[in-house]
Amino acid sequence: MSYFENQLRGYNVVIPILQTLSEDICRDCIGLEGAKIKVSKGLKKLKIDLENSSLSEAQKQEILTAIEHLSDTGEKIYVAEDCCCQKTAGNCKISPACLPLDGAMGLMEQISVPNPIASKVVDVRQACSQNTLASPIKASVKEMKPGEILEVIITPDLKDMFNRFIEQEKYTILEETEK
Amino acid sequence: MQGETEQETIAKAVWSCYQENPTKFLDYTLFDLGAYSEKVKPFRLAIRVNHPEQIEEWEVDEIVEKLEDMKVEERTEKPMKPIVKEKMVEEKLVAIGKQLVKISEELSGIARILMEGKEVGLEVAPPPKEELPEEEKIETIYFKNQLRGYNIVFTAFRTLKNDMCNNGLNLPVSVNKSIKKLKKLQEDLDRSSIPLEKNKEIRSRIEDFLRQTEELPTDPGPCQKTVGNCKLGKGCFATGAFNMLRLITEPTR
Repeated sequence: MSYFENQLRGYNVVIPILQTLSEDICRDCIGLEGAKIKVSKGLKKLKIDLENSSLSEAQKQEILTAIEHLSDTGEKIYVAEDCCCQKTAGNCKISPACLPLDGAMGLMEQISVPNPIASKVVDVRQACSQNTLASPIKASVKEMKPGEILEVIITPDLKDMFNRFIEQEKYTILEETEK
Repeated sequence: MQGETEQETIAKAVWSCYQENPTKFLDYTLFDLGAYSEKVKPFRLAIRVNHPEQIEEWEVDEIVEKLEDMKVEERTEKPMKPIVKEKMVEEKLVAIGKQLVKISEELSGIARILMEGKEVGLEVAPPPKEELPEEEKIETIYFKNQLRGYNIVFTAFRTLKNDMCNNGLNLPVSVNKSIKKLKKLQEDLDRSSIPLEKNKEIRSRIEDFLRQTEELPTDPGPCQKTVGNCKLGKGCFATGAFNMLRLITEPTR
């Protein structure tokens, strides 16, 4: 959930900045054009990630509404039809940097928490002891690379047992969702 | 060539296959057809891969799928070529038309100037613009660039005010830093040799930014990361927004 929240917070700031830049010389610039494309693609990717996520339907709907609102706003950013780099044209003299790409889009780089999409899912709802709970998890972990994320599906009555196992093995719970 | 063991015969067969002119080999006439026997269509590829740098890794499958669909369409719809050709001719005509309109506008402008000149009996050449001295020019660019930076920084601040950053630490800190920097910019403007009118214009914009700070948080609260609300990682939107000013490094003062 926090991955989507972070991304939405980011685009929430980036898009108004790009709108402001569209009233500047950037409106005729390929920099703003590129940033607009990046926003549109980024939001499209976010939608795909959302579809593949394990969030509840209500949460998905809430995030989807926000993504669509941002997409609509992003589409309305004005960029001239014939753009050219305003540095090359001799109008932009700020530095080698570009305000839409390095400034506005650069803000998205403040987000360093990646999308925690699980590379493997293990269902241990049938577990009846510490052993039957731990074995399939351990077996899955063995097949995974360092840094990969495992999604574990448990029932509420297995939670205490699961937490003990996590503590013993020194694993970290990144996110907990109830379905 | 199955069962052929003679090295020379095999070598001759291979050699015959890549000859540009038809070459006799046993009962066959062999030659190289070239890369593609039909007329090339470079424009199509150019359209498809217009901005390869903009294609993200996760989009590749989708794009390949689209290309496959286009291929199928091309195979099934024979009259595709003339349509594309017609479209290209149409686009060219539109472009020529646009240029002609532009030329005619410019010509009518020149004609108007000439006619005005005749009526009044004055020289038609526009008065030469007063060129600013080089130092003044650079100074004006400096202030203009700084204002461009503040323009986006303040947009970010106004947006972040509606985010959790409003109760945080770094948005008020960044706003306070901006106030200091804007006051410094004001002092620089006082010392500058920018003409009065331009000076006034820049001053009013600086004052406008300073007025905007009244609506922004200036009392630092707890860092929202420490409180557990902000889960960005190491980065910070408010600090990042203020640091956009650092992108403006020219002209130096």
